[in-house]
Amino acid sequence: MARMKFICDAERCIECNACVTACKNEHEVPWGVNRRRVVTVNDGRPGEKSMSVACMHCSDAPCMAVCPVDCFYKTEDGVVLHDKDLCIGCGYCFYACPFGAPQFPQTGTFGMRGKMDKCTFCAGGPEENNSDAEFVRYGRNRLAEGKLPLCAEMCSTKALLGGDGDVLADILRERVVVRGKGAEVWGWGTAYGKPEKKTEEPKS
Amino acid sequence: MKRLVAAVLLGTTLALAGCGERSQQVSYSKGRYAGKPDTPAWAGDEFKHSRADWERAIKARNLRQNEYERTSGRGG
Repeated sequence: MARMKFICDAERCIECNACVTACKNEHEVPWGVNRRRVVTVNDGRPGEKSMSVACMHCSDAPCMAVCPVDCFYKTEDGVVLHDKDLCIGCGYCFYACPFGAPQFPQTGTFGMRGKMDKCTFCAGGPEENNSDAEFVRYGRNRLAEGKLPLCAEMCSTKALLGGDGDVLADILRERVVVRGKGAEVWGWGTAYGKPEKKTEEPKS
Repeated sequence: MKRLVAAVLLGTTLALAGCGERSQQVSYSKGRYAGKPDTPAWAGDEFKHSRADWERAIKARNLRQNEYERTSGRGG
C-alpha cells in the first residue's frame, strides 16, 4: 500500500512556477486560490533556495485534528481530503496547517470566506470518480486514471516528486549519493519511521 | 357518499403530507469523519476495481520520475 507524499528537492528547484500554473490549469482553480506555490528564501542573495509547497498530506494531519465539523478524511493511500458539503469555512485548518495549504475563496462583497480549498493530490473528493460534480468542487481526479499529480509529473527539473513516499525516498537517496551531499535528508523513512501499514507488493 | 368520504380522506392525507418536517440534523459522531463516503481510485472504469492493476500503474509512473533510470537504460 502506497503512502502518498510530495518531496521538493531544493537543490533542483529553479523557481519556474510551472507546478503552480499546471495545478491552476488542471483543476480550474478560481482566482485568489493557490493550491500550490513556490517559496524562495534568501531571494537574490548567495545561497538562494526555492521550494514548491502545497498540502503535504501529513501522516498526522493537524487540519483533521482541529476541524470542528470533522469534514476531513484520509484515503487508504494517505491522501488527506475533505468534504466541501460539510465545510463551514471557519478557517481553523488554515491556522493549524504549518504549510499554509488551506485556501479560502472570497465569495462576498465584504470578503466573506467560502469553503476551504486545498491540494487534493489530484485525487478529487467524495463524489463519484471523474464526475462533473467532483471536477467542479475538487478538480480532476488523476489518481483514478492511474496518474500522479500533474505538478510533479511535469516538473522540468524533477525537483518536485510525488507518489509513494518509499519510492520517492529511494529516488532522492540515489541523487544524494550521486551529488555527494545532503545525506541528512534521506527521505520519509528517516523522518517518519516505519510505514503506517504493511506494504503489499502488487501481484504481477 | 362514498365518493365524498374518499375525496375527504384523500384531501386530508395530501394536506397533512405537506405538514411533515424532516430533521435537518447531521448524524454526528465526535472525532470521526462526518462527510460522504469516497470511492477508491481503482473503483472506476479504468481499473475495474482491481487494486493490484492500479498500484502497478501508479508504481510505474512513480519510477518514471527517476531520470537516472530513464537515461541509463536500466529500464523504468
